[in-house]
Amino acid sequence: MARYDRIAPLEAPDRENAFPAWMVLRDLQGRERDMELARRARLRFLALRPVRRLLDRGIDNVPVESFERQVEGVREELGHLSARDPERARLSQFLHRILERTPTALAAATVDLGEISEASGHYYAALECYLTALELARAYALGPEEVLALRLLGRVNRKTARWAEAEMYYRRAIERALEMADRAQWARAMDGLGLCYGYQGNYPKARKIFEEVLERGKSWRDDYVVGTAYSSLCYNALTAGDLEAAIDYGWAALGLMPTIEERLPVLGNLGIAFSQLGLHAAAERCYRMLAEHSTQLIIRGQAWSNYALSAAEAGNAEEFRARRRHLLEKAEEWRGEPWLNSWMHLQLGRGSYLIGDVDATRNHLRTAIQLAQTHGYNEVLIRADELLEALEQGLEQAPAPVAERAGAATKEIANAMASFELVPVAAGA
Amino acid sequence: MALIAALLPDRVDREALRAAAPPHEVVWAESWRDLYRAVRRRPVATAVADLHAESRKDGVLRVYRFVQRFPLTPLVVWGDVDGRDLFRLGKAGARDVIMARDADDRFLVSEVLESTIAGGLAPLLDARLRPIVGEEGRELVRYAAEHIPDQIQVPALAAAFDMSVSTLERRCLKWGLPTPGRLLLWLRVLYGLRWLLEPGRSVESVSYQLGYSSGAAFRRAIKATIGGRPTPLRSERGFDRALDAFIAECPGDGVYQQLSATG
Repeated sequence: MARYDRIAPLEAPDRENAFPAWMVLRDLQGRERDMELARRARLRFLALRPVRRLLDRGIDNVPVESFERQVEGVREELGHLSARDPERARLSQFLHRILERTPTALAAATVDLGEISEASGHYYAALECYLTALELARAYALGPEEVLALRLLGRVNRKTARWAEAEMYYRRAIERALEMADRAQWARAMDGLGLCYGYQGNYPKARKIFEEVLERGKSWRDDYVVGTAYSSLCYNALTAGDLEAAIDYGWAALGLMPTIEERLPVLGNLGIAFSQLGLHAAAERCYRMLAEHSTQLIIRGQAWSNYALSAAEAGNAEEFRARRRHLLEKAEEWRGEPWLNSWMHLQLGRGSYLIGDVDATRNHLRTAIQLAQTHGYNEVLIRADELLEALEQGLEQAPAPVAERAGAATKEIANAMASFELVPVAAGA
Repeated sequence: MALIAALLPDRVDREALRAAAPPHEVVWAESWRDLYRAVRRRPVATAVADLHAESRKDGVLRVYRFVQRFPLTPLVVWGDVDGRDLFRLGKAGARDVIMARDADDRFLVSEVLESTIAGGLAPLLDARLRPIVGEEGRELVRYAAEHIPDQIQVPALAAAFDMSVSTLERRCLKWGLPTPGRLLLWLRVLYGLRWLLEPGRSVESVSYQLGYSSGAAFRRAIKATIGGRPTPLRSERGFDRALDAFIAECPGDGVYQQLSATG
């Protein structure tokens, strides 16, 4: 094959002009030589094709035997992923579920496949899955699945900074959720819409939306809606730099969210707020719970990395070194996740810098930069570059640990956090 | 019956395609150059090519060149394709892919072939008729357009909609479409002109593929619909003119016509 690839500079086709499910592969754009990603993208493509087939031809028009054979063929190829790769098990579950051939099972499984891809930062794959789920929901009049797909389309567009599309999908999700009186999905779509404004720096507009959710939640006496509003207000306050308000809202949200899974994002935000206020014990408690309970590898790895860094921020050098060793041992678990590895090395670099371990700082930051350059993780690259430059310019004197600077009420919440346990809230509580 | 041009060097693959292709006819090519020749000589409804038909050549680049040369002929890629090449095939303009491990499933292969053969003119007509003709009328045109490569005739069209020929004629009147015979005549002409847009095609080969006995018969069909000869119509503009003339012959059923705001 020619060394110069004439296909690479070509524009990617629109979804309508490409073959079914092709968009799943579009995460390879600019990374065509990443064999690991190519394998993963191919398997997602093959897995989604039987669903597209049922959608395009009509479920009853596809012979069962032929469909099952196609699905089994994909299952045989799952061996291309390592046995320990979590995506392998999820893809296997996906294939098992679509064999049911009911519209509901197909839509739910496709949404799950999208969430797996989204969690790995493969947003085109996620987009294709959610669009397929939306088409299924519309073709078979599945109201709840339609709202869910619309909301997730809003989310993935938000994450890729396609603001107009994100807003459009969120607004349609909000509209459909209200028509169906689905308060939980309404609240989550409103939350997403608010985040969309928040990410664009329009905090007042975001806050207005979250306050509307809070008001409606209170009038409906719906704890979940109120909890969602508090969680959103926590995030909004955190990004606006109002750390104590973020902790207030977050703490209120924790008491209202019904499941452990829904409390985890709040814990993540609380951890950051506590950490920035110098309340390290509370921050570590949040990170630890997040790391121990999250089912998402990316979240778990990120939380363990933040947990390690927290020791350095508290000025506890020995504890940081111990956690660093432990983290590097655990890193095998996310070997196939380059973003997580780059984040881990960035946090370990920062921690090593704080406690004055110059060589370790340099090694971790260089690894983070290399990964970030290879895979195009700009945020990690900028942060790691800045820190390495500071180190190389002779700023080897580590900055002083972050001091506690919180008010009494916030300290009280931080103390309560020490004994907080993640148990599900009883139904109706 | 549509025509499929295929470049599949492997005997097993040929057998698999042969099993899935009926009622369509398959012409075999021995190389990419041969495939070009086959597509030039006869208006094929779709082409199928093994990505690895020629060793040590970039198959995706071959696909790209084919699509550039014959943009109206859908190309289905066949073979064991890795993730990177699947991605590149989408950019190169392949219409669909049949993975090697699915190749002996004749239902699946047949579905892919049918969907590529059905594409092309039918969606284009549907989009143009949408503002003036209701869903039922457009469904008829869509079906008829999809089956022009199969050389569909009026009785078969009526049967496909569970109607007698006379009922179908009354429905066409109601839906604001030309009579079924005239509709098929128009669709053959439009199909033929579209096929003629690609390089190297002769009027004779197109006529034969549309079911006419000679090039003269196709020329007469053009004269009876658009007027004139095919040669001046062998361009995008000529095809658009023909399409406009067809749409002008469809008064529509008024369902979708907007009221004019003349006050």
